[in-house]
Amino acid sequence: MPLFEIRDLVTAFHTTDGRVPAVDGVSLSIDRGRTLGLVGESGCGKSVTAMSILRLVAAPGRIETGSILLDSPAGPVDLVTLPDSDLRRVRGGRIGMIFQEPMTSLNPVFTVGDQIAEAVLLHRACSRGAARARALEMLRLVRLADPEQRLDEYPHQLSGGMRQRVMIAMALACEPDLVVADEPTTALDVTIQAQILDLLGDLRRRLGTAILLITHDLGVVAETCDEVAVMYAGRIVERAPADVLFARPLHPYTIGLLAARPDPDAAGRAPLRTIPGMVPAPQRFPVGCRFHPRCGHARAAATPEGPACEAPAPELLEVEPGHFVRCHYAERLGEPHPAAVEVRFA
Amino acid sequence: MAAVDGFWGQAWRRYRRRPLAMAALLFVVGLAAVAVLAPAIAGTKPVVCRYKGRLYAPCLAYFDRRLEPAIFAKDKFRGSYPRNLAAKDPQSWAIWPLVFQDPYRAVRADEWPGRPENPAMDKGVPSRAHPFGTDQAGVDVFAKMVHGTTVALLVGFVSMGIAGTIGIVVGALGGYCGGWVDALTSRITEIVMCVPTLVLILAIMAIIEKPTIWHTMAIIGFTGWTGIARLTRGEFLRLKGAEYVTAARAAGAGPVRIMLRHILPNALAPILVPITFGIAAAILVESGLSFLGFGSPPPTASWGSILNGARSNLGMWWLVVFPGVAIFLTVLAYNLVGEGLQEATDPRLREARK
Amino acid sequence: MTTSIQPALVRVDGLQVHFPIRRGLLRRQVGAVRAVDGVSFRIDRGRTLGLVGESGCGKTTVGRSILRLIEPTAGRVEVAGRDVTAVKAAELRALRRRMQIVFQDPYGSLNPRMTVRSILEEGLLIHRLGDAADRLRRMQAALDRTGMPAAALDRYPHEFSGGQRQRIAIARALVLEPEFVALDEPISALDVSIQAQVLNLLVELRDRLGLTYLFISHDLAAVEYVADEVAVMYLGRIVEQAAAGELRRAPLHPYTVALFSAVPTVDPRRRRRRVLLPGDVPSPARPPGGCRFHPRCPLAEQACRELDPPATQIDRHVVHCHVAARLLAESGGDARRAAERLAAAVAAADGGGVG
Repeated sequence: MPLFEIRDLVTAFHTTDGRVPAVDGVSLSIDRGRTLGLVGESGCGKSVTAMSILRLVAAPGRIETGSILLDSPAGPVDLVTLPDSDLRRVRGGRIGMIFQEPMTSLNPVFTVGDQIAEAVLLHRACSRGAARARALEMLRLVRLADPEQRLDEYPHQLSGGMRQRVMIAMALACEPDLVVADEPTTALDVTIQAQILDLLGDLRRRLGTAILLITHDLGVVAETCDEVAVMYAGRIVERAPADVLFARPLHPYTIGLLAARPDPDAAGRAPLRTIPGMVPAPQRFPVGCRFHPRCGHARAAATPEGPACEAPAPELLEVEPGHFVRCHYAERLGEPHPAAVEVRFA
Repeated sequence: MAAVDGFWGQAWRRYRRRPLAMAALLFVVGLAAVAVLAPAIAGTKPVVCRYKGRLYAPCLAYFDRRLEPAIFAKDKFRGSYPRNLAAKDPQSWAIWPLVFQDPYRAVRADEWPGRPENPAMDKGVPSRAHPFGTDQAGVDVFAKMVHGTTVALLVGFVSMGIAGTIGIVVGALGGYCGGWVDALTSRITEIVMCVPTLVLILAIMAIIEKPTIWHTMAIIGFTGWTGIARLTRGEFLRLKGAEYVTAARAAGAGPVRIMLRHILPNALAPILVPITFGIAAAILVESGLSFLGFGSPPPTASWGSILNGARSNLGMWWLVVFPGVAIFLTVLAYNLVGEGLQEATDPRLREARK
Repeated sequence: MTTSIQPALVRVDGLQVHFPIRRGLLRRQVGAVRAVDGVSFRIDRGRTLGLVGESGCGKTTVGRSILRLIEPTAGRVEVAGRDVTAVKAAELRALRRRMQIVFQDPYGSLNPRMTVRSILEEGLLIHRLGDAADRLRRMQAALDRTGMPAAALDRYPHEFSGGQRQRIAIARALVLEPEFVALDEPISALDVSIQAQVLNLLVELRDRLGLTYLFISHDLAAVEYVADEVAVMYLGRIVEQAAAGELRRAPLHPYTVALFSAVPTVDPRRRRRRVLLPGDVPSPARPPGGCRFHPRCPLAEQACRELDPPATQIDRHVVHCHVAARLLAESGGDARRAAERLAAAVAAADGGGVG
């Protein structure tokens, strides 16, 4: 049993416009000490997945089906059905959370030290003094400059990068087994992002914490993750070890994303390869393969090689060991995917 | 998607989904209809009549005395139409109000053929002839209330019209211009805020020789704009930095254009909400003043002045219940409309950005 | 490098923008945020200058000062031969037709209460261009150029996606047929798959209409793709400026080296040894003395703490750094060799980097 597993998660929002399935059948798993990157564009459901893990989805959102299993000494527990009192012990205890915007995720009226100590006291039976000592230790661990002085400062006195370090210190204070980091560096500058990613990697090596890293930046994933899951329109469309995925992407969406970035080594000023159309809103996910309206390889009708892309929705199939793709035309192993060929020889 | 669905269109769609707010809005619309149609609902003057070969609408006299056709005064009608019409021109005909009762005086015996005199004092309990009863002088309370609707609505709209205009102009100038303009308008706002409205009204009513309902409205309006000004200032200050405002400046737009076309329409929704609440508050102030006897002096019909009549004779419960309920429902309706407006236009409820 | 005979379309000289810090009851000025503190560059007609840097470095302020949406404190900004900072209101309005801006956030830059028609028409009305039929023709042409259907005219911004809104914002800039467009982070708020569409559109429009761009972004790859020349800003100053590819291949300022190394990439071949800069960017209200980068620079020396580094220029590559200047002198003016030695020095000094 892996440390953490999500099985067929469906989280939907019930609005006046009807049921909006933001997450529609997501499955993934993370082993101890590993990092899984969950990438996708806005509205693909990656953040809702993260919020679902600790049942933090706000109304009118609701987890409808699926299970979220966390391995425990007494066997796996399902966070979806766990009683609230037990869930609170998991939140911030066994699973820590880091949000995108450290300014709004920290309480402005308490000092940094108080907030970390508070997190410790919630999960550990210890004195205030011990909790404060632990807070100081954590600030040292996340390499915040002048930790003794910062302990008594308020969030607004810190820079964005320092605040994110404090968030990490809070998330790690109770030595969680898993940290869910939702776009932890998106609000930061690249040089600060480099510091934070470096810190996260270092802490993972030292503490053995598993990380679920949610981001829209493929570069961040490539440099920090062991495994990658690509989400599109509420579903995972491709999942593979990071080196495999970036060397040999198989889903046309993944291929399109990778090709859409300007390549500094490309000769001349050829127009960038684009994915046509726009990112679908959760209210209007297409039927069948959800990527087919934007896919250059979509088949309108069934062919000898496979079915039409509009009609049966493709399953997430393992096309080579550890490499899962949700595409009718990506599973023919042995011969390279037509889209992949095009990118490579473009 | 053919329909152009702008912000107000969307707001209206959201507003319509709230039954309570819709009911309140219908109530207010109904009140307005009653106010406009009051002379046709209750009165002693014909809505339309043919007299000596010409058509007249004497009921308009209820809006303004001067609208009463001179011929009836010349022919010595003395306000009593049914008998005079028949007696002085047998060919005449008239369409009468639904209820033949006057808001300003008791109907005399046989004024309407075969009808007795209005009962007065505590004999005026609600009955079939007078569903809301009559007051000390025998004036029909239903007729008084129907005509009092005009006052209730006017007080709200006129005073908040004045307050809204001053508040928006002052707040917009302060918020947009900043600097010394802002300092000046803010100080003025603070000074006006310190003026006790009630005391001012009482003082002015005492000074003015013939105080009318318009004076009350003007005072409520000229002292009640401070909250709106502060809110407008905040909105203008916030929206001044919006990127579409910068974009308009980049296109070469001048300050007047920016304020009127770019900032005001976006600031209007949050400003409208307190104005709606202000209308309710103004109605309460006017009712209170009338109840105490400082409001619109007779013969103006106002719900508050009916209440005032009950002060001298507490046994006349109908003088408290009917106008009291009317005031309560109207104030409640305005507050519900304001709340509905707030929900319908609140940016947090608008379509999610991402 | 082409040396243009005609004068530059945009010329910025010693631009300073200081925002006063006021405190207390009397709003006394107690200091100033030096958002832009002595920036100079020129952009020739039809060319694109990229302006990169991290948040707070002043790049957005530079863009807005050129259009005088922010009043510069000092310096000169010339567009098409006219000094933007000195012209009167009426002339400024006329000039604004020739210079336009596209903002980062397509959600914030379009007035939610106006239809696309009134958004596009506003500039035409202000500048009294054409009659109703002519204005409609211009609006349709602008929408068509940006790949939007003419039917968009009677819709409201909220009916469009982020990418489409950004196209509308670009159409609004183009409808006045400007010569110069400041693009302030035009793709940062968009999804990755949409960014490429908008980048292609911007390049195509520039080449077809002969536009001149100032492309402001923190995305180094996007800037290199669009721009002919790139300037790197740090704390209100330009620290290095060079041709787009040259800057990436041979960065001469330690900050540029760190900036490029910090960008995460999916291509393992292009992954550089990451240079981790210590600490945060200091506040522009209290910029450090000497070289502004020295508190974070792995190569800082005594001179860096005391002296503001002057410009050193090799061809069209300009750098403000004492160390780079010395290395350039030692390499006999060979920028490539100097850059290699600088990179080696940075790597040696920054022991904690991750490979």
